[in-house]
Amino acid sequence: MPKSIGPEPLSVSRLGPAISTEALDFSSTADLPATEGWLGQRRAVGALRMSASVPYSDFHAFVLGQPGSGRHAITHSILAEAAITKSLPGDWVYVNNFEAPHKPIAIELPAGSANKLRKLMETLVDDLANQLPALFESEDYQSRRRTIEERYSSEHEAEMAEVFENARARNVAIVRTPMGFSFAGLSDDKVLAQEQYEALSDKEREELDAAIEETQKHLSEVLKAVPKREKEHRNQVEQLNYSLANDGVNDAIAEVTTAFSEHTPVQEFLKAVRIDMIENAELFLAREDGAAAGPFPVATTKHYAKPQFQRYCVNVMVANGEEDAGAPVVKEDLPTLANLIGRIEYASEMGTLVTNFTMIKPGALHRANGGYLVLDVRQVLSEPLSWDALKRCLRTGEISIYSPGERLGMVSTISLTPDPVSLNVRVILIGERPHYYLLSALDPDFQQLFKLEADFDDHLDIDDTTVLPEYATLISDLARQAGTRALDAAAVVRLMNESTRLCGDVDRLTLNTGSLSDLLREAEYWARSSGADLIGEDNIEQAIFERERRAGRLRALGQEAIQRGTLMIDTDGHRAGQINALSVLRVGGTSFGRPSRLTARTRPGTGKLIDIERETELGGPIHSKGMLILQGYLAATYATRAPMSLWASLVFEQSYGGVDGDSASAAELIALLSSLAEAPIDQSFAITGSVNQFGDIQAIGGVNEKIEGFFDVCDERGLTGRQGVLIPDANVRNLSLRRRVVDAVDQGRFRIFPMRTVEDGIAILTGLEAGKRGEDGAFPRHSLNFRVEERLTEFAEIRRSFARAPDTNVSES
Amino acid sequence: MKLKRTRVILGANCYCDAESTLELASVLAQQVGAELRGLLVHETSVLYSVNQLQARTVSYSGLRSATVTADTLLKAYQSDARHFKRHLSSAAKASALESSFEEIEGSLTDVLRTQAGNGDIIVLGYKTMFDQDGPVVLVMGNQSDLPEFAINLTRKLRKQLHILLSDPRNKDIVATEAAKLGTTAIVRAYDTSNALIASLERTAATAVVLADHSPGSPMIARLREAARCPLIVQTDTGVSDAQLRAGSPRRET
Repeated sequence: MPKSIGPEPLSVSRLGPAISTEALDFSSTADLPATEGWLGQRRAVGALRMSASVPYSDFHAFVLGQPGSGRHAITHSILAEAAITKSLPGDWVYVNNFEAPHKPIAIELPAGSANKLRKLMETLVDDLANQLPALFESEDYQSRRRTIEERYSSEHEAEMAEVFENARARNVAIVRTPMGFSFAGLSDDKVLAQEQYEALSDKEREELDAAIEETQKHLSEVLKAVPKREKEHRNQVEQLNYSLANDGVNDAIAEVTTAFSEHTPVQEFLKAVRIDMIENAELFLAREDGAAAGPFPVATTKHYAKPQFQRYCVNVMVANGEEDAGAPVVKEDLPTLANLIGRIEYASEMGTLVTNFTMIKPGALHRANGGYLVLDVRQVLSEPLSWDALKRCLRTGEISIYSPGERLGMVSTISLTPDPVSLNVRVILIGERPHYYLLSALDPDFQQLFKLEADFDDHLDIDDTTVLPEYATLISDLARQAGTRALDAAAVVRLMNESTRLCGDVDRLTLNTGSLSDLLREAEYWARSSGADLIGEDNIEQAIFERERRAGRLRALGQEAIQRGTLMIDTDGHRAGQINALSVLRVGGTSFGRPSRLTARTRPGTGKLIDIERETELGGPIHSKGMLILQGYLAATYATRAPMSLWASLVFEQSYGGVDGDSASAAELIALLSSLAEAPIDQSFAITGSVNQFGDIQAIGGVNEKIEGFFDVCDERGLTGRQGVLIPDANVRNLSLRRRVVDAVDQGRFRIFPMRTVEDGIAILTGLEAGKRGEDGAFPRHSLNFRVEERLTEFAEIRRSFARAPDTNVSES
Repeated sequence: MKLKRTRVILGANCYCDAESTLELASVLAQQVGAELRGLLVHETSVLYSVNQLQARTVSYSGLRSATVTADTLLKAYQSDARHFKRHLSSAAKASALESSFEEIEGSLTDVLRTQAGNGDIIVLGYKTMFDQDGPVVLVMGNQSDLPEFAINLTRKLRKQLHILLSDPRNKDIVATEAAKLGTTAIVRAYDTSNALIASLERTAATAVVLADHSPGSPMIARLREAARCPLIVQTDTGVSDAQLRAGSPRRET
């Protein structure tokens, strides 16, 4: 092994978090007390508590956080706690508007009264349906009715009798003809025949004519009086009916009126009901045939359910019950417009859509009125018109029900315009950060309504000795909630280590309780399989291993291709212009690292650096940016006294998909320098890191996966002890490597080097010092930079020589 | 030997009388299984008198019309006859009855007397001034046998039954008889024809059934004038009510 001239490899202790069981003073999580489970979320909890208790109508809250951060559970827990302290809100009902049926009336009632009113109204209808027919069939009514009828007909009959009697007395026959009553002479109860009439004297004829004339006149007067008498008769019957119905309705409605005597809107409704019932008493008189009524006596029939009595129904929108259980906390998982603001249903009758106030259905806003409504912002935004409706309700403080079809002008049918219901609700939207930022930027109403942001932290800093015990308690709570067995201390530590890996920082623990809970339940499976009483470290380890194995098909295929030589990756030997770069592939919920061969070729040119990935449109913008930074470094470091006369090309070999990110820019730079200096690179190493224009190595993502990806390739081929990975020094704090890698490093079979500058990487990979410019402005003679600059100067000279000889041309293909 | 079917003969002087009585006649015909026959009678005397007297008519709503001529009245009769025939035919079809119709000149009572055969039921059409809710009045005279068709008719029409008797001694018998047939009747007695007429004049009856008069009785026209409602007369039957109910044909030799 050559003498090391670069940075020292990292010790085992720096390859993962330094968490041990010594920080924990329990043997199993069963010993730990249950907590609220809000560890590390003080900021969000504070915002939520404020939103839950401030009285201002526009202090709704937006909960930001990653899925799995416990946003829903914590929000529900805080709201439930706040709801208990609030009084139970009132009930809401819709009743018929007798004057304008298309505008049903909304009435707020004391909590628990809605169903009482509904039942009393049903009883009222049932009572009247039984009592009114009895009243109208009573002997008293029949007798009074008969008196009216008889008076009416007898007066007419008497007058008609008088007409006929007088006519008969004056020998006038009244004959019914198609044109009405006709008149003729009469003799011995027989109409006069022609010859009999002609035999009459002139005087007799004159007398007969006069009698006929008078009879006509008299009869006409009697008949003309009929309509007037009929109207009078009708009025008398109506008055009788009204009076009887009035008595019956007043008796029956008294119970409801008394029960709601203190409630003005209900009293007004009952007044309208009373008038309508009296005016439409015939509704209660239509009796069914015995057969149709079924085997039950009429008294047990649910008359209120009949269509003709729907007008008296009470449509209960919200019934909060009588017990003071606090304000409602409603979560609507499917916030369609109808589920949010309620809907008006329709029934098809004879091909026409009809509706009435009983078909108004409540939405989540009705149910949550007076309490809290929890909504998933993505669901609200993805449902047509829901977001707009929610904002309108919150802005106006009312719930107005309308149908989307009507709103869009797509439906044309008779509909309702129900009274809006006054709204007093606290809405909690739960979403992810991009939703919050996008809404803030794009919707001017959003900040006006959702004034409080409850930002759930993703991690917990290990900055205190109390953090680890508290985190252990969190794990204990998760185990209890998940119903797993308890964990021993070592398992808790192992879980914490995994937590730091999930977090990507050895000094931080993830607060994504969803992921931890998943892992716990998988570990529970393995613990149960092994018959253990507690979940141990091995169970956690196995859960992690199995999880990676399950998701490892693609990774295994990649490894196989490398081992077979299909994908060409060297893990030993030296070669100029060729380097092992590292990339991370994210597939589904897993990610894994894989080495890629990166090569550089150089020759004289006009200062052009060709990124083949970009030229073929396989490189992403960040990758291109890294390439341009690399160019900046080259130009500023080497071509200071001569034009940059370089043509170079860089490519990820055997890469047929897209490449993005700048984590290979250090590898690209070193490969390029290696090519220029013709200094072979040790293929035992892989490198990751981005470089800036000064040659500093900057942090990259997925460092653990990248190291493990190269380790696995080397491990399969056999670790030589020379192999290793170069990573940015800034990424050392992100290391939380798998046990197999740590063990190999511990045994001296694998190495991990931190780099601060590109010079560190050059030294390790080429065995040459990079070299710094001396006082004379030149690099040290045996340094790599000297060789690079010398080569570039040669290129410049070549280019200059071509410039002097106009006949000669340099082609750049 | 030929079987002759019992008939319900509905006679009227105008369509409105016929139309308002047709349902009643149909019910009767259904009950006894009879043929339904319609007669529209042109009152000859009126045709003559309107010409001679330059008479005017008074419509049923009390309007006095301009002078009526025999010609216009004749056209009105013909028009009413067409309507009557059509309506009768459809009503009979709806009730699965046989029907016939005739338009005749003469006096209504005379025509009916000549047309009616033994066992036929004569119905004199009359449009009442109001929708009558009054009783069915059964004039029994001195008879004591209740005509069962009258009881059934009362029950079918859901009306009260008033029975008028000339012999007060039969009151209890008739009331008991009616009760046996499932009807509670109000039974009253009258002593003279004038009393009967006065009683009918005061009662706004739905229909009057004359059990003791034949179609040829001179009282028929007077009673119709007094009742001012449909009048039902049963001719001498020679067959029982049971036969009538069953619609049994009678033999005509």
